[in-house]
Order: sequence, then C-alpha cells, then structure tokens
Amino acid sequence: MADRSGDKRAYDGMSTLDGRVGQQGDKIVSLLHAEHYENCIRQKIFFSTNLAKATTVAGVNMVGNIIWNPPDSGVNLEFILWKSVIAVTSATTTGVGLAFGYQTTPPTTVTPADAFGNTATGIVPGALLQTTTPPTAFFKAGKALCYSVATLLFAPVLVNQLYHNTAAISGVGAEYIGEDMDAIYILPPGGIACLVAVGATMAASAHSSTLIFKEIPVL
Amino acid sequence: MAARAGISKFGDGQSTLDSRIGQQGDLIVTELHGRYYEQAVRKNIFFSTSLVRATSIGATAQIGNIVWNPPDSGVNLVMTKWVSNIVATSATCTGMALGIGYQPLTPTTVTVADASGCTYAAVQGQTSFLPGKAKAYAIATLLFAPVSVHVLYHNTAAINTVGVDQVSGDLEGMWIIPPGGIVTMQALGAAAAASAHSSTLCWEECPVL
Repeated sequence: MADRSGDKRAYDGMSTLDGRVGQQGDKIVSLLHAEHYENCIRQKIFFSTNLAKATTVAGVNMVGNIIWNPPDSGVNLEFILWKSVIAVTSATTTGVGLAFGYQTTPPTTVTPADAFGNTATGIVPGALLQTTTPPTAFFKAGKALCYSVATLLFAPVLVNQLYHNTAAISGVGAEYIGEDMDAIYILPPGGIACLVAVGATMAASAHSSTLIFKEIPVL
Repeated sequence: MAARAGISKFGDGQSTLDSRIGQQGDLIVTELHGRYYEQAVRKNIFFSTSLVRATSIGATAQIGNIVWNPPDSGVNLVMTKWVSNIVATSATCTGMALGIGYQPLTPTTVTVADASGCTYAAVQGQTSFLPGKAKAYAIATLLFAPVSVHVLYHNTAAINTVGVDQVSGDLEGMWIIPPGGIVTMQALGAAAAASAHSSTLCWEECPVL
C-alpha cells in the first residue's frame, strides 16, 4: 500500500491501495461520525439528570447529582460532559464543584435521579405505561447508579470548582454553563462522583444538572 | 509500509510507502474537511428549525421543536448540534433541556416545523429541503410526555436588551434516538412565553445495523 499526495477522486465502489498524504507527509483523514458516536451506538454512554434540587456541599448526606460506581461493576466511568443551571438565588453557594469519594457499599437513604440511563436506547418501550415505575426505569440501565439524594460513607472531596455563582442570579440574558470533560476524570469501581455546592447548600429547587459518562471495561 | 518521524515534503502525485509519525510514535494526520463533511455531502445530515414558539415543558401537548423517528424508519438519529434563542421575556421558564420520549405511533394534531430537511441544502432547483426519515414538528400531540435528559442552559427573568446572546452547543453524537423515539427542545420550569423561542436541532441519520 502506498500513499499519494494531492487531490484524487474515488467513486463509490472503487477500490484503491493508495491512501492520501499531505505536503508534509501527514496522513489525510476525514471523520465519519461525531466524536462520541462509536461509544454511543455501542451503548456505552450514560447520563444522570436531576432537576430543581437543593444541592448540598460535600458531606455524607448529599443532595444534588450523585453517581456511584459499584465495586463489582467491572467498568470505569469516563466523564465527558457536565451541565449545571442555578435558577433560584443561592447567595452563599458561591459555586458548583465536582467531588469524588470512596464508597464500597451501596449508599443508603437514596432517591434515584430524575432520569438516568443509556443515551442510545431511547425510552424503554412500555416503561411510561407503568405509573408505579420510577423514572429511572425509563432508560436502559448501566452499571453505575445515579441518585438525587444519598447518604454516603464518607464526604466526597471537591476536586474541581466548575464555576462561580454570584449572590443573585442574573436578571437578564441567558447563561450557558457546562463544559466538555474530555475524559480528564475517570471514576474506578468503588468510587462516587457528585456535583456539589462550594460554600453552602443551595436554595430549594435551585439547581438542575446533567452528567454524561462512558462505561469502559476495566482492563 | 514504514513509518518515519519528522517533516517531509511531497509534491502532488508523489507516492510514498511511509507514514509520518510524531516524536512519540503517534501517527500524524490532518483532517481534510469539517467534522461532518462526509455525512453531509452524502445527504445524511438533517435539521429542524422552529421559530418564535411558546415552547412547553415536557408534555403530551408539546410545542417547540419536536423530531420523531418513526418505528419503521430503519435509521438511528445521531444528535449533533443545537441552537436556542429566547427572545421574549419568559421569567418562569428558567432554561431549556433536551427531552426524549417514546412514540410508536404518528403524533397527532401536528404543525410541521418552520424548516426541516437535509443540510445538503436546496440543491438543483429544489424549492424545499430533501426530507429524511425523521419528521419535524413545531406542535404535536404525543402519547407520552418526553423526559428531560440533558440540561442545556439557563434563561433568566428577563431577556438581554443590549448586546448579543449566542446559546448553542455540540452534542457530538452522545445521544441517539432509535426508531420509535422522539426528541424535543423543552422548557425546564414553565413554558416559554408566546413567540419567545426559536431553535434548531441537527442530526445524522445512520442505518440501524
């Protein structure tokens, strides 16, 4: 197989042994799909969304957006995106952070997240017909478990202050608050991740958030 | 085929058996096109734009930007981009989210989206955009209320009266809507005011393999 520099034309169905290189020997490529497609179509991407919660500072009694990776899950959680909205004045909160903890046994006194599960499978058919089914059953479950309220063994440690919220919420305009995490944090089995308040617990119904992560086998 | 580190020079038409690698053995590549070119030029990228709608929270009577993937479509909808503008004060809306629902039957009482179709746009004398397998609506009655799954942004009590607001994002294929699914832009707290919300959703239609 040889590579060749410069423009070429390949019709559908035409075969070639040649790739394409640039003027400096760089392999010329094009992406077929968006960044997360391959893992998404293989059902390895999951989400946790909580709406209008009084998110707490890091403590053993957590309220907010909490993801637990059980010790026997066999997967690492690779974080890819966070989104956060504070919609009610929370003057002493001062910011939202990402916190990690160590949790070898299931959290107690839990409330499941408002919605969580796989991002590729859509709503599980029939789930919405079951009025007694908690919303967590709407989507195909992963190995990780997601909560809005949980009692933990240890207070998680704030590892990244994601942003600063000020004394009052903005009165005008729109706020886009979130960022790609690009896998800089990986949560191994037995770990727990939370979105937490930095200074003090938020006002009631103040905080809505989403965390999106991949479940990747521990190799 | 071998790999060689460092700069080299190739004239057009010159062939080589060598790949270029970096100082740590990494293959050196350059993207030829924008991220979505290959799918766009093959007419696999689609959009739905809905203008000045009183976008509702997730409900069976849905208003906003609604994209339905019929059960017999044979394609998955791979979500790529979103844009959202609230242009009339909607103090209790508090924000927008992506919603996902289950819709095995055709939505009823529908109003089609203001514009939708293939992003390989209006070619060769066409007066409208090439349709895809998915259906796009501004208003639809659904079987079930979609579930908010992805918080997108916060809108405050009043809209800005100076400057500009750009509120948009990449979804990068992290959400896939299978056949029988529905995806919406929906309010978080309460419906946006009349004529308040304009939005665009973009997706790739990929065969179910």
